[in-house]
Amino acid sequence: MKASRTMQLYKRLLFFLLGMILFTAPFALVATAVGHLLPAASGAGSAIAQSEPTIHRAMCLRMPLVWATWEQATFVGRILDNPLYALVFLLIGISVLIGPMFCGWLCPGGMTEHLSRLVPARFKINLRGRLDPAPVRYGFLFGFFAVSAPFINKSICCGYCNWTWIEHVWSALFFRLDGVTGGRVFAYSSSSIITFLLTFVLLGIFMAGGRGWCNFLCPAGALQNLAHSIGAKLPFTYKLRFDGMKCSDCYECVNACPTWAIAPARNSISINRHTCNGCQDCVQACPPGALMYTRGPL
Amino acid sequence: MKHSIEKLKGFGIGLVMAGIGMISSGGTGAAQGLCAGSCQACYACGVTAIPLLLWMALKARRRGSRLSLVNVEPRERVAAESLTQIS
Repeated sequence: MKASRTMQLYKRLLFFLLGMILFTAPFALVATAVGHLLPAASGAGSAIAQSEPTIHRAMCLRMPLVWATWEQATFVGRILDNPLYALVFLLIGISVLIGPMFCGWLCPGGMTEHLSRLVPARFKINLRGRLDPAPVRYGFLFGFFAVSAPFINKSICCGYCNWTWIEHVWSALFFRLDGVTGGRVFAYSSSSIITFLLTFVLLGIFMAGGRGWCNFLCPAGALQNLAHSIGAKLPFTYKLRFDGMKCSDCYECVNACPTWAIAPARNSISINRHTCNGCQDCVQACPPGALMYTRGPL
Repeated sequence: MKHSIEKLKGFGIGLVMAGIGMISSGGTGAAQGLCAGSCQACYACGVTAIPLLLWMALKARRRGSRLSLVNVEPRERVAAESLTQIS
């Protein structure tokens, strides 16, 4: 069992590194490839060619949500100019069918989860089983859409982009300390310092599971989980399934879940589809194999 | 009823966090918060938001360490709850 958990850890680490190479600077292979495939001369893809190929510029996964809500007049034009802006909607669609796998396997935000394994448990904030993150997440999502955009003209997602900070750290590993992630103005602004404290410290490495940001604040993740909670009701979709007959009540899955999606219940467990990110750590942690991530009815 | 109140409370916390973000999101220039927008790093918004965040963190830390499942074995807790239900 320990071996399978170690294998799972390595597997997820490999996918996380793949996600970093695909989506974030200095590599950002997806944005770079699409930028090459869609030459600026044709109009399409010009936004990618003009901006830096980073996850928070050429292929932002949050601002398109704001544009779709508040700026419909220019929204289609933006998507045509840069098809990568449609990626977040594709991810939401995929979540209906197979769950929010991007969150659990590829998202660069997972850096904090992997780093948090290095911090001893006694130093961590552990609200597992005591605070349901889903309502907080949807409250923030509501604020993100309905409150922030009309009041401050744009949205709060750029001011609090955790991917920017992660890209900063990741790029620094490859000696890219220039303006690749927005330059020094962003780096030393107070909102970026708050973002750093939130992303890496408070909701990151010092939060049990290391997924505090995802649990409480990520709007893209919240929408993917909303889609997953609807999709999970359908029999042909992939979701975490539980076989009560095999369960030995060890609750290893409860402690293995980085997003606090599994809670103990009487002679059973309860799975919160609004926070499960499809990482399948619980499947590997379950000694009798009572949990599986497959298709079928709940 | 209690469950619904807890959910409503959580929703309110999320909204408050979005509000904190709104106050101090002027920092990037792109975000255009309540301040002028193009941040000259005056840190005024940070001075407002950071103590609030630290207070929330300390409160969560205290609550978490006192009540978390690290200190209470889930199996024992569920067993105790089951016994309470039976009695």
